This record gives sequence, structure tokens and C-alpha cells, in this order.
Amino acid sequence: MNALQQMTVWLRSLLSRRRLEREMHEELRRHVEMQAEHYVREGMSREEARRAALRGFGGVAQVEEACREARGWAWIESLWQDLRYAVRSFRHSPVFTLTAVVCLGLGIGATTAIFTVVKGVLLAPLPYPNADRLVLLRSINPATDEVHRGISGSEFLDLEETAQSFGGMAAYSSAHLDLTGGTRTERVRGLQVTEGFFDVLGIQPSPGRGFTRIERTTRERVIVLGRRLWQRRFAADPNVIGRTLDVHTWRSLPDVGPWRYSVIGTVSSDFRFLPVFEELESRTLGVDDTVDFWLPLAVDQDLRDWRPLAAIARLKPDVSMQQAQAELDTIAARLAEAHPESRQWRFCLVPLYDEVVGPIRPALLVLGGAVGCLMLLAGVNVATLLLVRAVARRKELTVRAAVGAGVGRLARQLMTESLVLAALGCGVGVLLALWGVQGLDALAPEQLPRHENLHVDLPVLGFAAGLSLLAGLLVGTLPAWVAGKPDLNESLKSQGRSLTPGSSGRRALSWLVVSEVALATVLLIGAGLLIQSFARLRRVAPGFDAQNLLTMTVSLPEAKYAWKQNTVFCNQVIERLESLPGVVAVGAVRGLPLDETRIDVWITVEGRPFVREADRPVARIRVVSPDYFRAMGIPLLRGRRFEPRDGIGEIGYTRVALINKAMARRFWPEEDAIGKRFKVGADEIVDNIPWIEVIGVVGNVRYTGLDQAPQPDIYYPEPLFPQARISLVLRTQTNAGSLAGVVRREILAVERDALVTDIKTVEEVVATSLADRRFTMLLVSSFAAVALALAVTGNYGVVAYSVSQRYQEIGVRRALGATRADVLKLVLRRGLMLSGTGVLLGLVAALALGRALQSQLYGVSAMHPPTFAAVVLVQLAVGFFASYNPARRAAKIDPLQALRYE
Amino acid sequence: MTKDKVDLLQGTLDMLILKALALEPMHGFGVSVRIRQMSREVLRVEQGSLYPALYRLEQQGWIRSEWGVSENNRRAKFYTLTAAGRKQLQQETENWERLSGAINLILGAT
Repeated sequence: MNALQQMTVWLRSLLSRRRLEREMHEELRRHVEMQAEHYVREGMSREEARRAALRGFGGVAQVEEACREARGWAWIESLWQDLRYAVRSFRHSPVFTLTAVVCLGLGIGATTAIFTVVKGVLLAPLPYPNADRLVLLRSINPATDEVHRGISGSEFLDLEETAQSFGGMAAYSSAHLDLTGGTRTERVRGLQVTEGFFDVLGIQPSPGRGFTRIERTTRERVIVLGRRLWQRRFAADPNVIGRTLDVHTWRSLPDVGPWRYSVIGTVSSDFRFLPVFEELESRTLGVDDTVDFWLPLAVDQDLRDWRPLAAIARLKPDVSMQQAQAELDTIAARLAEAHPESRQWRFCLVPLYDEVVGPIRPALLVLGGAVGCLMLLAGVNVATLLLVRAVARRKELTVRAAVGAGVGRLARQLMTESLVLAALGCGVGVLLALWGVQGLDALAPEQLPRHENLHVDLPVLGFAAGLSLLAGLLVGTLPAWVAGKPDLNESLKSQGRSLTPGSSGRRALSWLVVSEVALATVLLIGAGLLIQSFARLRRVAPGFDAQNLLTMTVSLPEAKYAWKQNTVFCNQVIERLESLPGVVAVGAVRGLPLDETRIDVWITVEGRPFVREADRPVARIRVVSPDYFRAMGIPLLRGRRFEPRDGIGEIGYTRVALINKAMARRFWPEEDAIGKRFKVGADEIVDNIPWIEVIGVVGNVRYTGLDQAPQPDIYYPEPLFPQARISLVLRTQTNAGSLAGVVRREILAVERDALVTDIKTVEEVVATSLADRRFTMLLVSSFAAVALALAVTGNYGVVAYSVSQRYQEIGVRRALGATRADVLKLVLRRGLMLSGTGVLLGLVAALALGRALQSQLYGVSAMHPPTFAAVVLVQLAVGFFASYNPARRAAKIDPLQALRYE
Repeated sequence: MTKDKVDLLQGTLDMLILKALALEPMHGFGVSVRIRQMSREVLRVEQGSLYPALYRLEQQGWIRSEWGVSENNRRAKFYTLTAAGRKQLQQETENWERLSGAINLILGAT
């Protein structure tokens, strides 16, 4: 029989163990019976014969054991026994089991979660063929260390021609298209690229093709579709080549559309271009780097000093980064000679990987380190707990040894127990990791590049399993070693000291607990400060009523409307929306609160010339419709609102404006701002511009962020500056979000080709502006919670351990007259000393680190005494409770037993 | 009848069991009886060695077992020699003869 057949037989016999056991019993019994009958035939009595047969047979149990071993699964039997025993003993001590499993689970969970992130973000290769050969070309001024994202058109052409290090090169720039037709106008994002792009990034348009060099210069209207767009607009028609797409606006074209583009190719899978689009629009449209289309990019030869082109290239297989950089330096030197006006600029290469992942890498490594420390602490905690347990089970182990269990067997039993704990911890840890990864993904989409790569998949599970195994083995070594001591009797006699690492080990354990408590203290203080800071921020009055407020952005196809007509559109829309049931007021503005764009201008205040350049007054202008303030709920503090009689002068000039309280206070602190005048513009050129009169003062609005102080704002009446893109705010009576669909319909009814995007309630906008802080707060809080749990268990473990060490000493004390209370106090004091030292160290560390945290805090000092005090109390209380149980047990020690225990 | 127990090496015991089963299938008790008979009462196999050996031989595929009815109409496990077992027996017999021949030569020399 070959090995495979043997293995199958072995396996089959393993699975039908129970039946085989029964048969073995029966077979052996039969043998004894037959032997007995043989004796009976020889003349013995029935009784005698049976006894003789049994005697002759020998020890049945030993025979069975030998048979089992011959079968080859004796070790499995004993393993199974070990497992059952372990589970049973865990059931008897639920507190210990729970504590150990939770500790391990926290450590494994945190480590696995961070590993998932590291694997997805740092370790996974970029989703392009030969991604490690892809580099971005940047301009750098070595004298000032200024780095420019792009290179100029002529530089690109030069490099294309002369650089030998690259297998392919392409320039790209991001682009937006507004597509009309279809069910609604939509804005899509894509790239303008030179023809080498597809090759460099390994995209193969099919059906169809990419661009050719000719298309760079002919300005032919061709487009390559991404999969999503192809799906949406053409239902993934395989005959899409040659069909056309109506494009309504396009950034850099000087004239007005609409344009008809013909499709020359499609890409059949979603392509994500990871170097982040830095356009402002990209932020409001959501973080999605899927490319919807490609257009040809024309490269302008002329301007050398304008560097708008981002360029990406693929290194040739046998060229290193240094070689390529050296070649670029040479070329740059040559160009500098030929064009001395731009001689201070050089090229530099940035690997694509660094660009995408670089910013987050240090943070992730720090997180990884932190989490590794947590795992280590958790492991040591559990080892301590197991050690305490092993020492407590001395009696049981000695009995087992006496009955015949080998030393190896006992050690194996203890190791099995720790592996079972590790397995349970792994389960808990994986659940925690799943939850943690989901949380990370939900809370920090902007900070985490490649967050689509975060999956808890097989390699991650393998990591968790491996980590648990390692943890179980390491953690179980100590008690297994303790149990496996050759002469238990001897070691027990010597006061149990040799059972343990000894006094230096004890001291190490104490310092471990102290450091755990210190860490927990620091983290708790940090978390407390961050939570308070966040809460305060949320309560900051934004200056308007954020409830029941719906906002959206409406864009008009630039091509279709002469901009003067936009005001008509705006008024029509406002009228229609105001007549909707459930809508209280509608306002229009360029630029939403908490969200961004502003027009900063210099102003000249009548009668207040400024002295220094730096003091030149600055304010922001917002162009609003008349009902804006009512819709937003901004109070009018003085004066009046805009009225029809505030006639519009020539477009672009107004005679009246509203200002906010901050501006009134800044420029006219002691007086009434109503009636005061100012001009917009720098002093020297404003002479011909009429003065603007302040007709009213409204409340401050925190437009740039809840944590920023309000700045001077000027409000212009809307008709003066018709905008192609405006934001609407609607105040509704109740649930704002439910009106979204209706509102969109109404707007589209006024203008079919309008583009309505970003319909959100203002509450969502506020929440988004706080997202970063919320994330930091939650992260630190989670770490604090884990650190606290570890500190508690560590404290408990070490105190319990020291009690078990001083078993006899306590007995002696009691014999000499100490009461139970005295013993209790003794142990508690030790525990509290550990916590106390830890807390003290933690406080010092927190004070030292406070300055670093201050920048993250709002309205709370980094030395906020109540927070510190609260954390100290919590830690001391927690330390008290952790030591209480061992102290109680120590107090219950029977002095006689302890003394007899020699 | 001598009551000396002869210590049998494990390999030798295996060989004897195979030989005992070469003639006809038999249960464990029968095998021990047969071995005693065939050795004219010199060799008595201990049950402590017999059954483990039987199980081992079955594991290795040289004998096969099945439940049958014994001479007293009782259920008993019968072992049979397999083809591989037969070959193994032949090989072991040859080895034994060679080995014992050599030893005899040495002992017979002066």
C-alpha cells in the first residue's frame, strides 16, 4: 500500500473512530470468552476459567491503548482530550477567560485592521501594468526649493523628442464636460491627454482606438468614452464608434458651444486615475477618480514660463530612476542655455506610487507602530494572566503528574489552553477588525487614498490567524515552561520562587503595568480634550439657521445663455420654488457657507486711509438674491434689506451694499455703519468708481469653517453679477431632504439643460466640514479605550500574581496577628501604587505633549484642568477595582493552610 | 510443556501472524492458538502484543479484516491475508532464512 492509500485508510479510520472503538472492545472481549471456553473444555469451572482467561490476557486498558497507538491516532485522542479539558476549565473561570479573550481580541483586531489598511494602501501595487516604472514629471527650482506640479508645453515637446530614458510619455490635464441630451444634463469628469497616455498606462480602448499624434493639433472633436459613460449614454452599444455626443460647455475653448463630438473608442472597464484631481469642483463632486472620458490635449509650444501640463512617463525596463533623473538634468541644463529666462528650473521625477501614497505613508507607519505596541502589551497581559493561573493550579498539576502524566503532556495541555484562548481572541479580533475597517472607510474617505482597496479578505484573515497562532504560542510558553519543570516537588518547596521569573521579572512586570497606565492616561486625556473640543465646535452658532435648509448648485450651460439672461433665469427659478408647498423662502448666492469659494477684495474705506501695505483692508464679497437672508435665517441687525428702488447702475457697479457685523466692527467700531461709504478696489485705481453706501448690517456667518472667526463680508444684490453657477438655499417647513426631487424637477422645468448638482441639506454640509476632526477624535478615543482595557487587565494580572507569590508571607502575617482588613489594605496599596505611578507619569507626558495637540483643539486648552482631574480620578478608581478582586482573595487566605504549604 | 516465554521481536511476530493466516482466514484467538500449535507449544503470543500487531498489519495493508461468525455462532472479527501480504510474507521468509542461515554458520564454526 503506498503512502496515499495509507493516508486514506488512516483518515477513514479517524472518522469512524467511535465505531472502531466499539468493535475493538467487542473483539477483545470475544478473545477472553474464547479463552475461557478453552479452559472450560480443559476441565476448569466456569468461574475459574473466566478468571484465568482475564489474567492471561493482561491489562485490558493497556492493550487497548497499544492498539490505539498501532492505529496511529493516539495523539489525536489526547489532543481532543486536551481541548475538551481546556474548554471545561475555561467555563469554570469565566472572568479570566473573558478578560484574556478580550485582551487578545483587542490586540489582534487593532493590528489586523491596520494591516488591512497597510495592505490595501501601501502594499498593493497600483492598478496599472508595470506600475513601478511609472513616474510623474515635475518642475523644481533648486534655488528656492519650489516645486511646480507641471511642466510647460515646450518643455514637454523637448523631452518627448530628446529624452531616451522613457518608453512612453504623455501629458494630461483634468477636464469637465456638461453633457446635455439624455434624461438630464450631467457633468462628467475626465482627462485631456496626449496620445501616449493609453500606452503608458496600459489602457486598450476596445472597441475603437486611442488618439493619434495628429489629433493633438487638428482640434478635431473626438472622444474616447469610459465604461460608465458608455453604459449610461449608449447602453454599452458595441457599435458606438462614430456615434456622437453633444457637449455643452468645455473649459478652455474660447468660443461658445454646443459641440458635437464623435466617439472613436471606448474602454471596457472602469479606469481610475489616482493622482488626485486638484480642481475645486472635484471636491464637491465627490471623491471619485474614475475617468469618464478622454479628450485629445493640444500642447502649446509658446509659453515657457507657464507650466500647466502634468506629465507622466514610463521608464524603460533597464533604466533606473537615477539614470533618468541624470538625463533630465542634462536636458534641463541644455534648455537653460538655450532659454536663459527659465534657467532656474529643472525637472524632477516622482514615482507615481510616492505621489499617490506618499502623504499618508508616515501616518500609517505611525499607526502601525502604535498598534504593534498595543498587541505587545496585550500579549504580555495575557501571559501574566496565564502565569497567575498556572501558579494557582499547582496542586492540580502535581496530582496529574503523580498519576502518570508526562511532563511533556502537562506542558502540551497548557499550551493547548493558550492556543484555544488565541483562537477565541482571533475570532473576536476579526470581528473588531471588520468593524474597524468599515469605520475607517466611512469616516476618512478623503484622507485615505485607494480606499477602495480596503477589504478584509483571505490574506488578511491569514494574517489574523498567523498572528493569533504566534500570540498563542508565545503567550503559552511561560506557563507551559512553568508546568514542565522537571521536579515540581522540589520547585514547590523552594517557596515557589523558582517557578517564576524571579524578582527582576516581577519588577519588569510592575514597570509594564505602570507604563500601560501611563499610556492609557495620556490617551484618555487626549481623547477627553478632543471630544470636548468637538462638542464645543458643534455648538458654535454658524450665524444662520442650519435646520431645514436645503442647498444645491445650479449651473447653466454657458453656451446657451448670454450671461445677462442668467438673472432672468434666476428670478424665474426663485419664483417657482417659492410657490412650492413646504418651501418658506429661497435665496441664491455664489458660494455656500462652510464650503469655500469667496472673492477677496481690497476695499477703500471713506475717510480712513491706511498706513501700511499690510493694513490694507480686505473683505469678501458675496452676491445674493434679495431673499437670501430670510432663507438662510441671518438676522438683520441694523438698517434695511435690498429693495427694488436700489436701482442697478451699470452692470458691475452698485451704489448700495449690506455688510456683516464683523465688517462694521472692524471699520466703524464706535459708530453706526449705516450710511458710511467705501469703494472696492485698491486705492490707486478707484477714483472713477462711485462710492458704495452701507444700507444695512446683518449678523456674522461662519462661511469658512466653524472654527474660524468671522471675517468682514460684503453682500451685493444679485442682479449685478449674474453668475453661470449659483447656489440656491431653500428654507423648508420640515424635512428638507424630502423636497430634493421636486425642486430639481421645477428647476429643470424652467431650463431643460440646467445642471443641478450637490443637493444636500446644510446639516450634511456642516457635518462634512467637521469630518476631519470627528475622525481624529474617534481614532484617539478608540486607542484610549483599548489602552484603558489593557491597563486594567495588566493591573489585575500583576497584582494577582504578586499575591500568589506572597502566599506564605500573607499566611505568616495573619498568623502574627494581621486581620483580613490589614491584608486587604496591603494588597490594595500595592495595586494603587502601580496605578498612581502610572497616572503620574501619564500626567507629565500629557503636559509635555499638550502643545502638540493644541492646534487640533477648539475652545479648550491643552491643559484643561477639569479633564486632567477627571482622568486621574477615573484611572485611580479603575486601578482600585482592578486590584480589589485579588486583594479580597488574599484577605481570605487561611493562615494555617498557607503556613502548611511548604 | 515449557512455560518459557520467548520474546519475539516485533518483525518476527508479524511474520508469524502472516504465516498463520496464509492457510485460512482466522480470528485473533485462532491466530494465537495456531501459532502455539505450529510451534509445538514453544511460542505463546501475548495478547498485549498480538492485537496491536494485527491492527498494525491491517493498517499497512497486508491483512484485511471483516466480521463473521465463529465456530460457536458468535460474532468475531476474521483476518485474511491480502495479495500484498502474501508477497510480504514470502519476502520476510526469505530474509529470515538468509539471516538464520548466516547465524547458524557462525555458531557452527569452531
